[in-house]
Amino acid sequence: MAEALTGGCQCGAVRYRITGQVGNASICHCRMCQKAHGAPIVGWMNVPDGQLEWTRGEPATFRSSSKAVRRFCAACGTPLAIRDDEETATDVATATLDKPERMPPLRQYGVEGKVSWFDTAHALPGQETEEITHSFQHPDFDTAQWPISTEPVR
Amino acid sequence: MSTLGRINIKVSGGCQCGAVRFRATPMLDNAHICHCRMCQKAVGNFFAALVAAPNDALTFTRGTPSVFLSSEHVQRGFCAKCGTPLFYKSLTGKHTTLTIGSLDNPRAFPPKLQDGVESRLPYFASLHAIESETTTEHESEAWAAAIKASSRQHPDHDTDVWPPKNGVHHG
Repeated sequence: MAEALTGGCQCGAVRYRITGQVGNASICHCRMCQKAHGAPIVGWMNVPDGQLEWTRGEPATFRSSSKAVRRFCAACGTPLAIRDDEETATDVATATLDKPERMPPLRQYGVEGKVSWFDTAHALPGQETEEITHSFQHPDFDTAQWPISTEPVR
Repeated sequence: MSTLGRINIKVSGGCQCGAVRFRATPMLDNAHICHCRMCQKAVGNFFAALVAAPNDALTFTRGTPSVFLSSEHVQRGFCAKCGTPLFYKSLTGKHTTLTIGSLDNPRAFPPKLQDGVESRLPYFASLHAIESETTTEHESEAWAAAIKASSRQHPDHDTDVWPPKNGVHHG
């Protein structure tokens, strides 16, 4: 059995755990995913019912259409998941995993919304992040207490 | 630090549900994507796509974004009603960096740079080459039509009235 997948929002008010085999990981270019995440694409992984547990907090909901409900952290905004009413699974945003590198996407959807520069973005010149001072982001592992203190977490 | 060029363009945008709307002009010529772990978590994606507006050029025309202090000097703005990540703002800086996906025309700002490459996911460079559906309309016509007919997403232009009387937007 694979190690459980854990993750959560930026501030750590919402944390989740995924057990068992999950479905395919994908990316979606559609305009609704773009708006929900403020991003050109969204990476998703499909988690069957019963395998996703909210271990800290409960995400807020926004019904984005008659078909689906989106979940996000009310305290920091991180978009976390979408559930289609007719499916027996929830799509969880792959990047919110503590280790998103474990779930490489295998398929693209919603290409009608694809931004023109997507295919070549990987070849753009790169630079590293300047120093981040006193982050309040939850670390990429489960914590026994949250917030750890009123001080920054690292 | 070099001075950023300005682009004389009018932009509008907002969150998915339309509770928060903004306009900005001019914009700064700094469109980029950021792979850093903080941006990944803030937008729930492998990277954020960002472009900045001078603070005095940005106006919130509907609603007020909520903010989360993600580090000592940085606010991240989002809609409290639907969660859409809207901006990143240094408390000591002179501009607000908007998420390109929240703009009504996200295609107007092709990025020129990748930031935060220390956190770039190993599969990022090959995402464009993975197997692809054609369009949603082609692959899942009935589903796409049902979404379109019942979408509660704000259209990609400013509106006089929000929310619409029947709760459904037709952009």
